[in-house]
Amino acid sequence: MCGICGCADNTHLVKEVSVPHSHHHDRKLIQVEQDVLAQNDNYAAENRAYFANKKTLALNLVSSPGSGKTTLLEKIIPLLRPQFQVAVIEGDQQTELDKERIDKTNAPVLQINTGKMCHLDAHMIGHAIEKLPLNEQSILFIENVGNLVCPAMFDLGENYRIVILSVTEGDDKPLKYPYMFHGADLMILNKIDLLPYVDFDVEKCFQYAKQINPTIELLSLSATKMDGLDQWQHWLKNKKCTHKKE
Amino acid sequence: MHEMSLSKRILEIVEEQYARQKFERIKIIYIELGELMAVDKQALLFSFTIIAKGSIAEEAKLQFIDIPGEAWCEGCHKAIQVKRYISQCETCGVFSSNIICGNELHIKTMEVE
Repeated sequence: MCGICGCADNTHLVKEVSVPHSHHHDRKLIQVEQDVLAQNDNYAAENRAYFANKKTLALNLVSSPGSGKTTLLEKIIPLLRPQFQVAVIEGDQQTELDKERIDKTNAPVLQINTGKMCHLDAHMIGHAIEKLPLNEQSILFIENVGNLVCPAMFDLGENYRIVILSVTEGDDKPLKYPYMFHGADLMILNKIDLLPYVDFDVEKCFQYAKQINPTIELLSLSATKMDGLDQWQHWLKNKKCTHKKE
Repeated sequence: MHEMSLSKRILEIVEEQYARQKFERIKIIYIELGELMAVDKQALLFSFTIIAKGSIAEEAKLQFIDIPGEAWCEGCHKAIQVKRYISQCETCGVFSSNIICGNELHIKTMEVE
């Protein structure tokens, strides 16, 4: 491989640069050799180490807008509270509306407004976690910006990534947004109380999710009706206990 | 769109190079882009044009080096070429998500003057 511009001359599958170029090395070429996402990955690794040091369980909640992430948090926090200390980071382009909702649960919460950006990144989280009280009793929920595409690319340093899909969105979403579902540890299917009113095949949806990600765990519940919420409570307690032992 | 964040990072990386060794301008930035990477070339080109205005990279062209996708097929026990992040093997029908390459977004070199 040409060490100057990276065009291939070996048996690897890399195609040559599509625009013709010359090998006259009188051009001034500077080797850069840097991954564009490396900086975010480094910040994510620092966050991960911080969580490990504090023995905190950190969860990144991702979904499209309106799937019920904030409602899920409003309902689960009181169930976790006696045993664990919950903290929340809220991510939205604008407003503190979600922070105001979580404030009512009395859990410490920080709002990040991303402005033009469509996702949280590890650098933002790194600054936020310094301001939150985290310790070995803590479970930190990071509610990402509602978006089924971009957040998939940005590791925040979380221990687990949870993708939330609601029954009003369509059972084929795992196939349509493979990056997000492939990168998740758990899928929560929310708003199951609305199943009688929508055309949604739960089995098919779960099948698609497993096709994209054979190891993804699956839960279905209704946050507003608190139906099945105990399953998530159990999952969280289980992960927290396993996490503590490590 | 996340291409804006990525463009911003590309600019930061090339500006770091400028801080180390001075030059007049950047002409071309060669970027390895994996076929399976969730990045749209046109969106990246467009957003970089906006981000780079007024910087040392204002006139720089982004030149992509395409990296084809390869995944490990659990059915055939070998590497196969894939065009999508999750692909069904044409030989055995097993869905592959174990990506070997095609996920790169890597600044290789840049031509300056």
